[in-house]
Amino acid sequence: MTAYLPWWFGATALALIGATHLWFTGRLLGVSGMFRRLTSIRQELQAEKLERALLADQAATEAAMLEATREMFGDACDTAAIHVSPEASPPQPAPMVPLFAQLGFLLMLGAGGALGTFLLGAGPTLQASLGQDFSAHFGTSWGGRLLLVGGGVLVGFGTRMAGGCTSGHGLSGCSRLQPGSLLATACFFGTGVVVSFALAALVS
Amino acid sequence: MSPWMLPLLGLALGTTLSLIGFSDWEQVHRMLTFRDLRLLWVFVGAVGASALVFAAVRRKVVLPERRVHPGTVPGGVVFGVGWAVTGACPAVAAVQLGEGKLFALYTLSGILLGTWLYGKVHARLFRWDVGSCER
Repeated sequence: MTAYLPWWFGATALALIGATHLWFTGRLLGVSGMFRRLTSIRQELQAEKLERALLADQAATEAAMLEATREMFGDACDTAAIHVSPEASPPQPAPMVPLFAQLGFLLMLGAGGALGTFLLGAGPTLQASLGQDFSAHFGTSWGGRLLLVGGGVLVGFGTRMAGGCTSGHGLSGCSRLQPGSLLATACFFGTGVVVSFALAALVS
Repeated sequence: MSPWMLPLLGLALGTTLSLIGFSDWEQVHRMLTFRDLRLLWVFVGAVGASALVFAAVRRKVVLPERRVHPGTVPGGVVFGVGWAVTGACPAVAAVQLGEGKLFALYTLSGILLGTWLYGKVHARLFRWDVGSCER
């Protein structure tokens, strides 16, 4: 069996990667969100373009907001007396991470897998399976492959429905004690455990 | 931010997941059947360490809330089933492909399909507020 690295290496590395991501992008690490963006590329690129336009011309944005305020409240407020004070404004969420950068991230996840196999052994071995234990449970013919597609559909569907995956909810959410993340993580972990026991029972 | 930063982070995450065995179906299965808790301690440790980081930066950055909404529980359950069957969360599927596990292509196709499918289903059937614009 492969000699995988100890738990504290993984814990430290994952926390560092999350923190570094936050430092450089101002946003939380969450991989299912990256997959989500890939399924609506046109809208995402459009949203990024709009955001860039908004950020680039703060004066125009403020003028537009003042105008909207004027329209909404009319004579009820003296909009001439309103001025936007940057120092008094609360901190803004960081801008969207460029889609192509996230695509690079996803591609490099694969490269990381290859690098891992070099560090632990002889490099990537092309194999038409997911390992012996998987084959013992599901076989290597079409049944197993269909299950992977079906299982993948559940992963994609479920992570988007819950709003996150093991990185988004598990790592970035639970560590901030966010209720949605804590509950989602408990659900996917708990279900994972139940189904895994059921699968193990089916094999033995 | 340098354009190399995100690809580098992806490389770091992919390598880490591979080195600790999170992309190994058997390892994930052993964790989820409590036969080997090593990966669980990875997770707990990572969450704990991240908690310290986030507590330290709490007042300096705006980070989105993650509220409970009607999709939280069913989504988590559905994901859990998929995770147990495929041994993969979205990141892991990509890592597995890099490791040469060609079957990960099936998982990845499913993930993209499922992600896209949910978008359609949510727009047509569900009206709940996820608490953000998904941005």
